[in-house]
Amino acid sequence: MILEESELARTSAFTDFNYEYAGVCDNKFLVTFTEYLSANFELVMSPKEFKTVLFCANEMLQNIGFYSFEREALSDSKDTGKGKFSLKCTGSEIVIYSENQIDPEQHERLAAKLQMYNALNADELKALYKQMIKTESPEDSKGGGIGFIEMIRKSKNPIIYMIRKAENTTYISFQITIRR
Amino acid sequence: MDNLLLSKTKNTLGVNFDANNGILELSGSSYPENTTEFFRPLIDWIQKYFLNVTGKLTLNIKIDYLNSSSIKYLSDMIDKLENYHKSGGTVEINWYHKEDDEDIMEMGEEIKEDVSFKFTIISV
Repeated sequence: MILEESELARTSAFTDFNYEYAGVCDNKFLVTFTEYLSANFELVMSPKEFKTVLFCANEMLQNIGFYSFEREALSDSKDTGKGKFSLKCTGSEIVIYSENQIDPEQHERLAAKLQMYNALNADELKALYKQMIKTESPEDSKGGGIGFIEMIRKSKNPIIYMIRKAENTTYISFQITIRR
Repeated sequence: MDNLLLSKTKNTLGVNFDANNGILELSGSSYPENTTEFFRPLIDWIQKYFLNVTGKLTLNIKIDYLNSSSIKYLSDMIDKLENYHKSGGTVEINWYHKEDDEDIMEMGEEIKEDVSFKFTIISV
């Protein structure tokens, strides 16, 4: 499902709680963010909600670090991706959003994969998940190749994504909603 | 055969693999910077145990959170246990979860569906 930019802006108009971040998404930041999430959310969310938010948020941040086209060199001769991330929470839903630059050659392949995952029902997703954990990770995957599938299964909602082009740069954004 | 001991960190599991009694324990959260680098020695240790010790193996799993790539490596580890069981070895997994942690409980239930050895889910 691809949303127009205006629709995305409207769905993000929450005020109850809003966490926003823009920058490097390396493992060090992931640890800091996880601690922040535990300290601020573990007691105000149900355990199931908290685990879903933790999983989806960390997968999205990790994906920025792995795949963002905008890279920053780290001190130990590695590099990591940069991007934007937000977590917005109201009494009725929690919305997690991320955006990063993407290799223009890759966005169609990624969009097709997400479209396929979003169209599957719970049983089909479970079957695909079980198949994927038994197979070698795809060549273009730096993780387990099951992150998006698990985000959809745990949140029970599709991943909304949008491709945006600005000058010579292509951006991809992801949004996942967890109903409370 | 040497035991394998790794202290728990904020983003890596605590590991206590005891070759003397065949009791292995994993505990904590896992979202390491390099998942392969963390899990590969654990899987190698298990394979070496099966080759050299060939005794009963009990794996106690007490996890709070796994990222997607850690789930995949844990699944790989459990596949090795399933193969050992199918070739005549004795294997058992005790999967612990906090009473209110549905997420970890459900993960255990799904893994249990695919193994033929004794797999006990324990609420603590």
